[in-house]
Amino acid sequence: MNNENNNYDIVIIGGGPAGATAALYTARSGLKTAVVDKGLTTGALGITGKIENYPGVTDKSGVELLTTMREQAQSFDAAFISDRIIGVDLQSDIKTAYGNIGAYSGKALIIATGSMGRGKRIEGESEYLGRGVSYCATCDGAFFQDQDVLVAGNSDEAVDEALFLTNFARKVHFLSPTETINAPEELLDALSKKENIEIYPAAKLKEISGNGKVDSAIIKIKGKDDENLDIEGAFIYLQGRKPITDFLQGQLAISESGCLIVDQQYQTAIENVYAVGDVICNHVKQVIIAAGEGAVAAMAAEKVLRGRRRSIVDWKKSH
Amino acid sequence: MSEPIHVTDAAFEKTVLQSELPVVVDFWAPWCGPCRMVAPVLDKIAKEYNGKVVIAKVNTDENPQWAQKFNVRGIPTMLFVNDGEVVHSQVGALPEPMLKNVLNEFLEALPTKE
Repeated sequence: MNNENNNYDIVIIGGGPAGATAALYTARSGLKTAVVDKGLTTGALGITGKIENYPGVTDKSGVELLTTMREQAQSFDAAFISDRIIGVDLQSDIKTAYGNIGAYSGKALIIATGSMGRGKRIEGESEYLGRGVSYCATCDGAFFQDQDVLVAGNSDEAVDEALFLTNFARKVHFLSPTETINAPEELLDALSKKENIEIYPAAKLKEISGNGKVDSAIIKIKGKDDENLDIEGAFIYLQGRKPITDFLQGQLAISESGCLIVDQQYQTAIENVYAVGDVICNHVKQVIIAAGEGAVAAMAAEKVLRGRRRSIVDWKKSH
Repeated sequence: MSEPIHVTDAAFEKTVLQSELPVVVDFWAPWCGPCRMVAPVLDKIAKEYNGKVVIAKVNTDENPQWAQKFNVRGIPTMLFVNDGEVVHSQVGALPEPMLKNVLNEFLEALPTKE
């Protein structure tokens, strides 16, 4: 738990190929860099089986490629922080990203949150937000001491949050929308060892209902009829196919298709705020493109922070 | 009162429910990131709206009683209270301009006192 502001030169939101590549470039150029990300398997690359079209890489899964990218950035001292960003201050000279755990400030900010955000909400979700519906177990877990809760999701973020909730809740119902959960083995092991957790594979959360506060949910397990679960809390970490921009809370213009708008250097309408990867829409969704955009934005940001007019390419520098 | 007042469970009734001025009550806890996002905004509002609204803060770790009574199950939750009645509740952090909009709407909709 971190009560202090963490100050960096560059803060990157999202640790997929775009964010990790940007971090590699800024960290390697000596800028103090932080990447804030929800988890390894919360993005498009992290859930991709096998990568066959990233040049120079053969026989690697998405998670393996992403892990390599992150380790490479870390080797140049980029910090990778596990947190979910819920809000930002872009107007001030120093840009700040606020997470569930900490706040991260930088002279420049790169948004690389991808496009696995949710569009439609579940029935009852908005109505009961703060009345049992939550997106942050760290924040709200303690309100559910000895009560039954559900967690919906299938990423390592969802598993992490469920594990945290087992410390408070009487029972945690874990609903994975898919047959399998996309999380590292050790997390899944930890999950299955908890006595107060029940895992429902291929289970859809259909509705949250209550009377002033949440008291139940309707779920649908594949091949079965709708079921009613008595719960007092619903923690939702589901994913979709929308660019993730909700944490911006209207501070940047969004195109009709829901994407961020950038210039040729991937800078948004606000100086020193960049957006790269799947969160912008003017390209095909490919790892190599996202990585390339991360590199361009990183070099542009570095140039500005160092007060140079042109980027310097150091052909000889190698690690 | 140009600063937020920290309110205990014991003082809640007098400070919040019996307040002459409208009150914004922020239920928060030290370990909550989104609460830290709201805190500087509320500090600023307390100064700018001095004499128009009271900003009250309740640490739910130390003072859980009223949070429970109001069914608060997520923080930050801000209750907009007038004459002891909750007029509006805002769950989750908002950036400054949006929080001010919510506050202005709340203040404008209040009945004028004789």
